[in-house]
Amino acid sequence: MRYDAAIIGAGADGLTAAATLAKAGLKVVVLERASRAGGRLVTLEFHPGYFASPYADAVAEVPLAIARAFGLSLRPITPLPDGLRATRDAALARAFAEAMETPTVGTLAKWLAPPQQSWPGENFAATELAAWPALRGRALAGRSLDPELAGSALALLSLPLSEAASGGLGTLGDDFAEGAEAAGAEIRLGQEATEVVIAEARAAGVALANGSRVMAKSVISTLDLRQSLLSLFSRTALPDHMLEEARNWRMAGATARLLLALRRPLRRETPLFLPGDSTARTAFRHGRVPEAPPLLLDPVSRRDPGLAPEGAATVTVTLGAIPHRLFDGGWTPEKRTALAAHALARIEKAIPGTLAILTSVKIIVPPDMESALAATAGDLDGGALAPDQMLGLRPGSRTALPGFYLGGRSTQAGPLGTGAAGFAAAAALMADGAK
Amino acid sequence: MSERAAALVIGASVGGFSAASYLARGGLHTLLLEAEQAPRDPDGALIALDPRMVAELRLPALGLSFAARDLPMAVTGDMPLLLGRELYAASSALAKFSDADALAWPAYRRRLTAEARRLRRWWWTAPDTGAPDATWNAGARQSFHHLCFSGADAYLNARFETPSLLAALLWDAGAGGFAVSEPGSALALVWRAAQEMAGLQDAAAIAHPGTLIGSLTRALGMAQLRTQTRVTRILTKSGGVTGVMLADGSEIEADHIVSTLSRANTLNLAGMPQPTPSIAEARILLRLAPGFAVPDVPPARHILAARPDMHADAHEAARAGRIAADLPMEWVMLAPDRIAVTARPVPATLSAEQRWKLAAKAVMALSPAMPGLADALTGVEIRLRPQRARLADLLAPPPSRLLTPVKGLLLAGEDAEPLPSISGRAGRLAARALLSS
Repeated sequence: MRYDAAIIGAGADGLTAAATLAKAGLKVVVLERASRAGGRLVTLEFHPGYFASPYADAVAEVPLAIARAFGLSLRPITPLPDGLRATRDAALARAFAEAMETPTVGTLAKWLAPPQQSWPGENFAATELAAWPALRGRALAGRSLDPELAGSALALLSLPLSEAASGGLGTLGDDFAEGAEAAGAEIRLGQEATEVVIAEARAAGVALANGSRVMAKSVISTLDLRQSLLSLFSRTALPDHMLEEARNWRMAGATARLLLALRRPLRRETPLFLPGDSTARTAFRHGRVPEAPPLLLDPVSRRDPGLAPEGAATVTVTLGAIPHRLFDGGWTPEKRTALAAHALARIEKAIPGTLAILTSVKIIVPPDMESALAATAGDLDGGALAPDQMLGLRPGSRTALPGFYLGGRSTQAGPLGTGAAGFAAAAALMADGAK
Repeated sequence: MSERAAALVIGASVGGFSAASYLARGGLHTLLLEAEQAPRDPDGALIALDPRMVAELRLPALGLSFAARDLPMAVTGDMPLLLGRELYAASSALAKFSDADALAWPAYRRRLTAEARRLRRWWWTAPDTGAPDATWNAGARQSFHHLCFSGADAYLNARFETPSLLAALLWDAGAGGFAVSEPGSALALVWRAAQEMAGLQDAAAIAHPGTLIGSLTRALGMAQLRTQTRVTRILTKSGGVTGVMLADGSEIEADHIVSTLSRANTLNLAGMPQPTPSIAEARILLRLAPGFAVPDVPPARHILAARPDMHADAHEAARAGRIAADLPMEWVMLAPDRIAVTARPVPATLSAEQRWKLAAKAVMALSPAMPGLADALTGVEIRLRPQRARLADLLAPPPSRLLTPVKGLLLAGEDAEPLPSISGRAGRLAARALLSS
């Protein structure tokens, strides 16, 4: 059987693309390596009776149309200031408009086109995150950004400020999956894509780890740019400039998470941000375990009591500037314990009495994210949020290979909204089909 | 009744001499005021000396002579490497380290030169040439945008793999106080390339001691140099300058003032306090005993930076008020008895103890190349230049770098250049702007 579109990855982007295309009457299959859909939108029982979303507590805002289409019930953690929202929306609108445009044949037309207008976020290239103290914690948590350097403010365009109304991010993942299936898309779990099949100089399907092939007129990859271009194709299949672009694409995985099960509620109701010190980023660059990285503690079960047993509490801790690769080897159990011990000591100092009620700790470091989510270096942003990788210089949805689209976080729309990149890829695919 | 001049120039630096000479040639009664006993030679190599000023003021005829021209960059390490103008010589030297780097080098240099050619007009010729990208096609514009928004570390990492080469090239990106991952730092590489372009051999050179200041003094013409004259205030009235007050309490009236002090110091004198940046470049002058046997090193700017990541570490340390353990430095042999060392970034204010530490670091860093240096040392001078350049500074049109909020007060010092440099261009441009107004 031949599909109209095969989508690699059943995260928010893949499922948004699937639902969008299926609603338009296309025959769509979503291929997911894991045994459940949702990608990073999962919630696990990490200790009997205690639930948490292991990879993140919140996601970048879901564009309204997507939230409505899937019937998501979301809650904003803090509202985004109007100025930021306007810039973010303008950038998103531009990425969508580019996707919906039918491209002119050949590359010549592109060169003759009038010079591009400046990208909506350009003023952030010279701005420091430090100028936004209220949002600093959410922007720095899990990242290696230096808030005093120009350009760090670009992370504000990708703030994870939306959480599920109840039940953790996993409920959003379930809603996305149900929505895609209801629209008519087929979701195949436990199917790992290993290669994009090329026939007659265009993408023609996906080869799977189990040896079978899924044939499709077009393929959308929601993996990051490196995985999409370097691991889904044999070395000679793509033009050199595409490979070069992928090789130079910088991934900046720096997130570690601690999931804490507490016997009693924490003596603090609101999130706590400890900025850490300047030695943390030095340690990060040198591949050492930092002692005082930026730390965001979130008593998630305060807002969502279902995450912990009655009278108990689930607390998550997001650490930034955590190296993916250590200079002296892997993330051994000792290193993980050292990381947790440093973090817990700082928490105990800020909120005395926490250690006394601690029942269990689960530690997640960047390589765990990498293997669970197929995100290079464990980078959940799809690439460093540096000005040269933002500002319209991220790849668009189309690639130089006809029929192969990028729909993941590495694309222009990727960091700006959850599901946005998948929507843009679907829009580009339909615009090209209409040609 | 107090004295009166048509124009005052504060600071007998290269920029000050340049401004005063051009103003005097324009027929203005000009005084050049210097706080010290005598004008001093620049405390480093001439990295951006304005060739037009050299020609128009006829400095070579007035005594300027160069000990070395067209300085190459020397990469220090286990295997020394000299990167000069000759692309293929540099390439074959690089081939000892990495074939890929040897192949990438000519393309990289040509790329920087192409961008530099475009920007040179914008940076130096005047307010009247239009935006830098006005006549570009979309492709050039895209690559220019990429360069503007790139950090030098990413830009260079995409091209080269040898760590010592990367570490040395990143030195130039830190000019003006950029962090090497900040937008604008890649553009700083282009700025440096613009100083080293064909026909600008003297723009990266070492003058024989005294000949630059000597020739500039002779070029002053009708302008008058006054030493030991410290300006303590710039007097203003309803938003325009009226003159200066000197340390001895006397005043000099003037309609126009050109200052070669930093923007912050100039506006402080005019009663408009400015925040000072948190980091600085340290210029360390090492004076040596006359008989010191100078080892046979090629005339070059020698970069002491072994690891690419030490630039980011040092920047972070400097912002936190510390001197990094591994501090990137550049040294140039100015004369057999004088070595200029530049170290950056360091904190903008240093305690006495930190100054000692910095001096010791410089001596220790040079010692492997200069056996016996510590014993031959007769004096160390450290001067700090606080600066935190931003992308906008490199893209600002020339007039905005020269202008201040005070009418009649122009800048012509190192702050008025796209990146701080001993250039004289800003003096020439300021004089021109002032004469045409």
